[in-house]
Parts: sequence; C-alpha cells; structure tokens
Amino acid sequence: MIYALICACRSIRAHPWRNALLICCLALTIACPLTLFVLGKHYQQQMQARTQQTPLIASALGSTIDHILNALYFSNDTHQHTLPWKQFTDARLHDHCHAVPLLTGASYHNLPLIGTSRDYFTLRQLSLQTGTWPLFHGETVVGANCATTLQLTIGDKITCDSNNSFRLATAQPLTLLVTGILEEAHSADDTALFVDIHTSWIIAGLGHGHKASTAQADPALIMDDTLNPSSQNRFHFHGHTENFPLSAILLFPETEKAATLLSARYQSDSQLQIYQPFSEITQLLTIFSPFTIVIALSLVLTALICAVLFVLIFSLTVQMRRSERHSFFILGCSTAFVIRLYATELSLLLLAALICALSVTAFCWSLAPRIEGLI
Amino acid sequence: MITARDLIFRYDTFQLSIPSLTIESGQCLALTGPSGSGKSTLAHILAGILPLQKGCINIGNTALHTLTEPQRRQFRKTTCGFMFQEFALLPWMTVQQNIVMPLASENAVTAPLLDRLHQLAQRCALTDLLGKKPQQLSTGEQQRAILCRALLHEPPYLIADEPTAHLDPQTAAEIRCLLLDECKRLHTTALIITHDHSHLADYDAHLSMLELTV
Repeated sequence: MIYALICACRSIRAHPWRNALLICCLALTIACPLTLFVLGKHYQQQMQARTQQTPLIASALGSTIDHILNALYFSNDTHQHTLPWKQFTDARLHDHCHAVPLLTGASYHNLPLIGTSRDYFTLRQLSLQTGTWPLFHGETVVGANCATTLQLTIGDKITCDSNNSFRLATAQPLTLLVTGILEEAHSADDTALFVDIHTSWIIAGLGHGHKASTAQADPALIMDDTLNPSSQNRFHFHGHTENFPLSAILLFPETEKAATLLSARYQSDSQLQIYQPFSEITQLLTIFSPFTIVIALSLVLTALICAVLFVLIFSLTVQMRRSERHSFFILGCSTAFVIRLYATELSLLLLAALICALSVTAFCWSLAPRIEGLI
Repeated sequence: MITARDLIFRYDTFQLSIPSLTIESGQCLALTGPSGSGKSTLAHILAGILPLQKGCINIGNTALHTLTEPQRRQFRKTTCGFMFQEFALLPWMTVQQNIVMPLASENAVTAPLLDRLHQLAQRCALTDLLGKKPQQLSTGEQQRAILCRALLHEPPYLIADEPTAHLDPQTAAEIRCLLLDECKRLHTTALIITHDHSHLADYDAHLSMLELTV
C-alpha cells in the first residue's frame, strides 16, 4: 500500500499543472455550495440570535419587519412612525420587565448613532474595551468596528451628521465626546455609536443650548453646538418630554408570564404594537426557504455535473494510460497493485480538493463579519 | 534448463506449433527467423504473458503451463528476466525507480539489492543517468536501463526479444556484449531473439524458427 502511495505521488507530481487544475476545479465545486451553505446558516443564526436576545419589541403601528430591522439592526429608516416617550414611562412601570428606549435616525459618518439608556448595554451584555460609560449628556460610546474603521479613541470629539442641511433655523450638528469603546460583540452594535436618549433628542432638534453671553451679540441668538458638563445647564428642551419620539422600546420580561401579560396589555392599543422579533424574523425566513431549496438544488445539480465530468476525465485518463497498465502487466505487477495505484491517485486528488475546499470555506467563514458589513 | 513440448498457440489465422525446444542450463541461445514466423509470440509464451493453449513448458522446476495468470505474473517478477521490444519504462519514474519497480511493488527492495543495482548500472554505464526520466535518455540508454531491470534480481532465466533492434551498429554491439557478459557472469539460461546474423557466433547456440516449427 505504501509503495502504491509513493507511486501515486510520483504520478501526480509528473503532471503538476494538469492535476493542480483538476484539484482547483474540484475544490471550487465543493467549496461554492459548502461556503454558501455555511455562510447562509451563519447569517441565519446571527439574525435569529439577535432576535432571541430581544424577547419583545414595542413600536408604533406599521411594518413589524421594518421596525425590527430598525430596532435590532439599526437600518436607520427615518420614515418610521415613532412612539411618544410616555409609552416608555408606562412600560417601565410593569413588574418583572425591563424596558429600554431606542431612538434611531441620527448618524456619524453614515454609521448609526443610537439614543438609548444605560440598561441597553447591560441587557445586551456589552462591555467596554476601554474608557467609561457616558456619564453626561453629549458623551458617546462607540462600537468596536466603528472605532477601528473611523480610528476613534477616547477623548476624540466627533460632530454628528447633519440631516437638516436645508433648514437653517434648526439645531446645528452636535459635537460629542467619545468616552468609551465597546468590546467586539459580532453584532450590529459593533458598527454603531451610542448616546443617551436626551442627547439623541437634542441631535434630532428637540432641544438646544445657547452660548454663554458675549459682548458682541445676544446669547439667545447663538446656538451652542457642544454639549459637555459645563454647558449642560444652558441646554433645554422645548415641548413636553412625554411626547418626545422613540423609534422603539425593547422589552425584556423576566418571565413567560410577564411577557404574556405585557402582550395582552398592549394587544388592543391603537398607538402601539408589541411583537416577538424572533417569531417575526423566523416567519420572514420561511418565506425565503423555498428559494433556498431551489438554490441548494441547483448547487447540488452543478456538483453532480462536475462529479460526472470528473469521472469522465478520470476514465479518459485511465484509457490514455493503457500502455502504462500493459507495462505493469508485463513487468508482473498484480492487477490489485494497479487498482491500488489508481485508487490512491484518485483519493489523493479528492483529498487535496477537499482540503482546498475546506480552507476556502474556513477563509470565507473568517471573513463572514466583514462580508456582513459589506452587505 | 528450458524445455517445451508440443506447443500450440493459435490467434486468428496465425498458428504456432513447436514440437520440441530445449535450452540447456547456462546456455545463451540465439533464435532467428523471418518476420511473422512467431519468434516474439514464443518469447511471450515463455515469459508467461501469452497463455499456452496446448503443450507443456518447463522452466527449471516450474511447469509454466500449469500456472494461473497471477502465478505467471509472479514468475515473471521473480524467476525470469526479460527484455521486450517495448521498453515498458514508466515516464513518471526515474530510471532507478523504473529498474527497481517490479521488486519494489513486492516490498523486496533491500540494501544489498540497491548495491547490486549500482554495480550493474556502473557496468551498463548508467550511473549518471539513474536520476533521469526515461524520455531524457537515448534509445541505447533505454535499452541498457531495461537490461539492468531484467538482470537486477539475478534471474536464472532471461528472454530477450530483439534487444538490439533500432540501435546503430556500435551501440548494438555494446548492448549485445553487455548482455552476453552478464548472462555468462550470472550463469543465466537465455533465449535471445535476433535478426543480426553476422554475430551469431557470439552465442552458445543458434536456432531458426524454420527448424523449430512444423
């Protein structure tokens, strides 16, 4: 057997380019469906894991999927209807349930800037890589990938994107102080920035500050664009806070019973809808499952065609090597030895192709978070 | 000693009938005859490549006609050396790997065997060519390589089918001398098919197919 292996290696080495090409073709044939399957499963699990982490979401009426994408993956859909802050204060009163407010819509370098409360980090089990949690309005913590991409460090000052370019009378973009960088969480939190809900309202133009009095001008006419501990007192909101907007409320009931009671409580609410993101996303994924099956079938068919082509190539090669088999015969080598030699050659080629295919799949798997980012 | 009695081999319209053939032990017998007279067929039958349809062949103590196909393969590999017109050298092996291949497939390559290979290669002026591929060798060098392969296991019997065919006179003479010297040295019983009538005196005996067949 060892001699057959040695001979097989020699035979393969004698035609390096032909065999390398064959291995590449085979490897790609295996790698393509395998990678698609693995990545598909990965994203599906990622999606479901995020929804499983969030038992309930309360949002304004409208498409639940749009609200979920906005609340869990920060799709920054600014056309969503909002909930009044009062709904959050009501939800907070429920026993055995943690409620987290969420306001999306703002951005920094087109990355989502989320207004929330400190509970968000606790309930999402996010920890700080470096720095501190925001203590004052105007402070922000940034996701790990966000910090890397934008090269942000503690103490940096960032000015959020302006979404009111043509409305000169509204608040100008606010400057924020980076106080913390989050640990990588392999979720949408990695590519977002977080501020407290009051800061996000100021960014949205619901509150503003005035510069300290100067000799040149009436301070009431000069807006302050930096919110820090010393300027906090000069910032104020206009209107009733209880009507201020929220994109969604994330609800974390402690028990099944609390979840059921909460769902029942809001079932007939005319302003608010409450739903389980996991079941909504699973329902969405089931819509795609027939397409997945069609894609899987087409890939299996392609693999089958490639396998048939491979068998054809190998049988043609065996035919071409008839004189070689005759040589083995007249030299007295047994038929079993020749079969062993060809089987070993075939096995080595398949093994090499399999190793290449698995390497390609592993490489793509390692790139999955980046690919996810690109998507 | 090689003896054959009442050999009959038929293939399509061709028929080979040999009532009797004897090659004495240690004798180098030259076999001549016109093309198509059955010289190569006889060589293939004696090597156990073609199955015998009728008659009996005894090579030493082995009754070749009683052996099964796998046994005949084993016989070729261990007991009988042969040189055929087709060199049967594998292009993806070096000359050395080709020479030891029949024994290596039996895991029978030992240090003394490799020593013998190097001595034989030296005598055949192949030492520098052992690491080369067959296609890098001239026809004469390839002939020397298959001579090495035929004699490596010091077989008591050798069958050579036109070992000097396609060679220029000088190279043919070199190969012939080498073959006969090695057979003498190893006391090998040899049947050598040749068309070269001018050197029949170099062999111990000479037979024509016309004398052998009926």
